[in-house]
Amino acid sequence: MKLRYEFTVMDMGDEIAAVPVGDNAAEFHGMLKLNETSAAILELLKEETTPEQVHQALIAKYPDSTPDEIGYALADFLNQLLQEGLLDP
Amino acid sequence: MDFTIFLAGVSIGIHSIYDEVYTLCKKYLRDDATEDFSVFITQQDIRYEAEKSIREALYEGNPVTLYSDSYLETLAVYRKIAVGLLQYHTYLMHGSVVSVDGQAYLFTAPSGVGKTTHTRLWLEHIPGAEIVNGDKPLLQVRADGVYACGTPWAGKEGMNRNCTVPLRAICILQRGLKNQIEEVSFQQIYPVILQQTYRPAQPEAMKKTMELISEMSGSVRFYRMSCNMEPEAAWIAYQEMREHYD
Repeated sequence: MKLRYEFTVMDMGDEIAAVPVGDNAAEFHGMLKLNETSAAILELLKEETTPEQVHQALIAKYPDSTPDEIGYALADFLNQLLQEGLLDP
Repeated sequence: MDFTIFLAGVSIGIHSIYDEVYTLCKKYLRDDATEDFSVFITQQDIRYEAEKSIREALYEGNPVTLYSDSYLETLAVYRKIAVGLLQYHTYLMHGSVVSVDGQAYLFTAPSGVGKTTHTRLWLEHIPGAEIVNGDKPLLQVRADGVYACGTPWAGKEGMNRNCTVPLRAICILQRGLKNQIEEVSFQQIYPVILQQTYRPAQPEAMKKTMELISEMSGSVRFYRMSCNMEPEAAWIAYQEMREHYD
């Protein structure tokens, strides 16, 4: 799986705004609100990867969270991206 | 056709295939030959606009309209101008701008909410109210604040004036039975601002756009308003937004 578009991000203080760019991205007129974890996930999805690889990378990055907590957050965000048509599975 | 226009204080050379864009730009023509940047249009640019308009209509569930090449060329020209103007700290936002006593107010909302109706209420009922642009104004971020700049690209009604006015407020409109307005923070409404801002396809240009929005947010006030179509809507909006500057 991989992001369908490149994203431009803007730091909004307590959250991060991400907007897709590219010729076809204008079809998605919305934006994503990201927290630190989802911003990290978005970064990992720039290159072709798998849910398992992303999960492992996040477990290494956030040792204070349990693998389950990270797994739930990852699943939620991947589902959001899929529903918005922003992720090629 | 080859001609030069002056938008947001920038001289732009236009090299078009058809005359329609020249006719559109008549109020903004400039005689001297010095150009800050130029825009060249090819048949490929026109095809891109045709395909894009069909794609977007399908995406939004609207009927597909086939436009003339000369009209599509006007869109292609503005798209290129919008990207070119980013280097002059200027970006394009979808909305309607009205000025009163040398201060500009921008109303934005998804299509169909009633920007044009609300704009007309201001023009008809607020003494001294004048249109800046009814649909696609340019916003220029300067050291002393943000300025709304007129452009000939102004939507179906074509309401526009060749002028530059300090922008005091951006107001997000929604329909309501009663008229209510509240001041909000940029953080509360930035998703709408991003949604209504022209998004260039090039990543670098999009990054610059985001930077300009961020700079703009520091010197403009933001409001959210529920409004009906009565003249009172314009008065309530005007009273609330202007009182901070008296």
